[in-house]
Amino acid sequence: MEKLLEVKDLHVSFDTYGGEVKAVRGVNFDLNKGETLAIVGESGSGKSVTTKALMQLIPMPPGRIKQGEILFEGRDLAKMSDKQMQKIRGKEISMIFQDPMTSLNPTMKVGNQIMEGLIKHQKMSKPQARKRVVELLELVGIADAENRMKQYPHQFSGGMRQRVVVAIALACNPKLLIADEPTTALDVTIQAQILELMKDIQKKTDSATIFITHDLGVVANVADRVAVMYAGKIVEVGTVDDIFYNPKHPYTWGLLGSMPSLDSEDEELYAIPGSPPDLLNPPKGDAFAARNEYAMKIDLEQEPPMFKVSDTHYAATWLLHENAPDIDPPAAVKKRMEGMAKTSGGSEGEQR
Amino acid sequence: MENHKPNKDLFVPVDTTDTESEKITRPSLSFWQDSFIRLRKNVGAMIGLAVLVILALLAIFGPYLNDYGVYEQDLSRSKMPPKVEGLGWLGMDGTLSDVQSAATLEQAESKALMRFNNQEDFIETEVVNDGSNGEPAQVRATYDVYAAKDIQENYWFGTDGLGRDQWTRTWMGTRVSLYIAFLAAAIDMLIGVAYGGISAYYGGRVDNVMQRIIEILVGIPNLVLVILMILILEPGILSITIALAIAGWISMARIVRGQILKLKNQEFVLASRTLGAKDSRILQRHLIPNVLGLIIINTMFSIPSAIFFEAFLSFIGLGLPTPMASLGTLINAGFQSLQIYPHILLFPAVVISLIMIAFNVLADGLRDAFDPKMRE
Amino acid sequence: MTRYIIQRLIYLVITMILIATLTFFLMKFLPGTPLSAADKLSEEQQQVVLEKYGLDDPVPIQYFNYMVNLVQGDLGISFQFDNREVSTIIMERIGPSMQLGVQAMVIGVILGMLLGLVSAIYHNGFMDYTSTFLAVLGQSIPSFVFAGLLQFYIGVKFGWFPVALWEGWEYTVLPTASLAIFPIAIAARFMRTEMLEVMGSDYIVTARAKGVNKVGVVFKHGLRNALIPLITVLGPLAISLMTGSLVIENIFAVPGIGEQFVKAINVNDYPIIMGTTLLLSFMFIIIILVIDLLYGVIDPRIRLAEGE
Repeated sequence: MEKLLEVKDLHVSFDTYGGEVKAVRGVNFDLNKGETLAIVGESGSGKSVTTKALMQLIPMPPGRIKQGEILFEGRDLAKMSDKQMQKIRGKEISMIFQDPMTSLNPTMKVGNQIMEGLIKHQKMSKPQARKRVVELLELVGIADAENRMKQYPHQFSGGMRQRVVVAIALACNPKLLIADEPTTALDVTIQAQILELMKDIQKKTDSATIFITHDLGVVANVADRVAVMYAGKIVEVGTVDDIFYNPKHPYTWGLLGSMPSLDSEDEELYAIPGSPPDLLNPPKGDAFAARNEYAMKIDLEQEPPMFKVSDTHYAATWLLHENAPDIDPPAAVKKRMEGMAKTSGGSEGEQR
Repeated sequence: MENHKPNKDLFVPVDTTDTESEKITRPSLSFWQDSFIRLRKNVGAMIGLAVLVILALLAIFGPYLNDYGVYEQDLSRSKMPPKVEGLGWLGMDGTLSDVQSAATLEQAESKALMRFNNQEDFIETEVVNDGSNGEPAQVRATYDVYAAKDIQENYWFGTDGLGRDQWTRTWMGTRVSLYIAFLAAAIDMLIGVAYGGISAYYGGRVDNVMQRIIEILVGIPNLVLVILMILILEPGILSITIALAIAGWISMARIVRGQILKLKNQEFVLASRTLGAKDSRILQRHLIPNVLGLIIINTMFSIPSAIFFEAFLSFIGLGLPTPMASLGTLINAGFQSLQIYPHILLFPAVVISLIMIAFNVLADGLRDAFDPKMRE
Repeated sequence: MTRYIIQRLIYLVITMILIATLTFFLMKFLPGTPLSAADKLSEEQQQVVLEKYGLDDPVPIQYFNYMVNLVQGDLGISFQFDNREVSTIIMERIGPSMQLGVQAMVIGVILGMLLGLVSAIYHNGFMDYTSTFLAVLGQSIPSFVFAGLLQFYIGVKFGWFPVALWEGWEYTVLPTASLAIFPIAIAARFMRTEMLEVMGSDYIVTARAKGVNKVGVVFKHGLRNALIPLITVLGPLAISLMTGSLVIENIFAVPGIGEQFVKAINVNDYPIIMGTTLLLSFMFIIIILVIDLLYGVIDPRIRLAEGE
């Protein structure tokens, strides 16, 4: 497998009234060609900021990439000028945003919004671009594309708008597609449609995808690998199977435990107590310690390194240290993990 | 990972249930505290406030700081230039000066002397251009009016065409402007807020009728309304007051109505109502605090426009009748001798500009401080 | 859309009738009549004058006649100029006022927009602070104070442009400048706020994510969306210009309706005051209507929502 993207020790900070907010504090991950990586975590964990930083789309100032490398096919995006980035954005990396109601320009015809990238990056003539727009709109499942492209965004429903946003992102056949919670703002039925559409398109185009979400159901559906983020760091990373059937980080346990499922009766949801730390003054030691019922003394003093679980699976918790006591995930989470194995057919879900 | 060799003792569970998970790391500030901190940090707004305080003090005490009365006329002392001991370098030295040009130096000099009635004892001449380079000769004459008229006391801002003290009259005019400021604020707060609040809170027929009235009033330009009112009443402070009372509250009423309508249907109000809160409680605890910021901002913005309106009316002769002083009438009088005695226009113009700038900057500061959109 | 326009027109007519009625009855209460200036007339002469102005009829008939005349564009006869119709006087003088108003509006809005745009692009930079500071001055300092400054320095001291009267384009420079400063300031501040808000919106991020360059983002995506709300301030600005022209025309001796109006106030020439008042109200209402309609034309969300 060829590596498309490698993020090394990325730090992103925002300078505010109160001081420096360290939104991303040393993130490492990589992505192979054609692969789908899901980044999960609660709001404020830094997942959006991480991906926006990849495209240099965080507002600067107040934001800034403090340190780290973003190697995209060997080139370091973090050191590129805005001019250089303009050639990458939309062409090699493109992005699908969360809220389709606000992410389209209200005063510009839908067709023109899709065409913009084509004319800029592919140097197409207007008629050529128009033809491609019709193709794209049909690809994302918008009927009557010839007429629809002459309309304004407010004439589209939320789901249709998100299809347009997808079409904009796909216009130039990007090598990497970043989807920032693309279904969060949509109705459940529409969510499923958009997810199907994205899976379908991925099969057709073979572009790598980073999928940001806080919905683990979506993750199981679309991703190859999962990275769990907490307080600006990746705390656990592994294949979908690793994360769903053999989670090691107590925060991942919490996430899984708090996900409702239909198959078992009278089950209790497992809630993670407390709220995420203030990234203006991140706590010493493990940022999750304060909410962790298995916290140990060392969690309050030292940050845990990434412990290797298997070749694909790493987690940052002191519980994996050889000196740590053996701790099982809470019963509710265990049950959930077993349930998960059953529902997804079991064949690939052998427990490690 | 092998270089991490932490002490074994550290691997013991600690109880975190009630320690830090819910700890709030920042001090919590109420909406008002937060707004005040923001306002205090706004340098422009603080300067504006300071300027207003100084101007208000001068308006209150200024007229008593010298012995001249507001209406005290003395035609022999008309159009005196300003003179303040120690401020000569600012041009406030009690002299008038003018440059005259003519073909020869002698002609220019005699023209310059003539300009100030040939009172040679009190005129100093200075050659600006002796005419040797082909251009007309120019001579500057500086005339010490105070010495010529043998006046001992100084007129700090000079005198107007009737010899009245500009200092006293300027501060009397400032009083009028500040009165208008308070009036506009009071009208906005009382009539505007009550009208908009009642209209929105009761809704239905009441709202319908009240809105039709507003729609018609909005259709009539303020200026027209005020001019008509002033024509049937006598020009004067009372008719300006009435005119502002009729026209000044409409925009506030609309804003308050819009905001309350929006709030009324928001979940926190519905929740409170579901829990059985009385009308008065909902009004006091939920609606008023949420509208108050908006009311303050809007009031602050209507003050400068009211001040301008009064000055404007006085300027075109619909405001305060002579001999009363308003900044508008003073400026109008200043225009009549602008070319020769610009100082008559200068002081009231500077004062009204300062008042307007100060109120606008303060209003901007308040808006930034109270506007929830601005906080992160 | 048509229904909306008709509804608005009905409101317009009602408001106009109301204002006309109000002016008529106020005029009845006013102390001055054409007679007060010449009290020493004989009974007969008085009767002639009263007949001339139609003042001997019962009030309801006077009201009826007044309204009928009004519909025909007849605003009555001036008290101060013998036998001159108010409508003629106004028509003679509307040209300079219009020219002044339109010049100030166009220059003001365009300059203001540019200033606001520069402010927004260089947000929190030196240019931003400078133009914001200038805008606060322009918004605060009354137009007649500016007029005084311009007249004294540019007119008298430097002699670049004529100080008063109306005899060619160079005569329009100083009054236009004095009038334009307020619209410049308001348009600049409004443009800055709108532009900053637009530049922070999601679709700007979308445009940047497409790889659109900075110029394209600002002009193609930002400007149009920021311009739409700017239309809402045009109405209040036009009205402030109408108010402002009353003093500015006086200061620079421009032979427009504003100058005539102030003169009429000082000599109690009620027909002219009333006529001008009605004209101003009418223009005011029309401007508001036009701007509301314009808003619908420019913003596709409003235009098409109506059409569907």
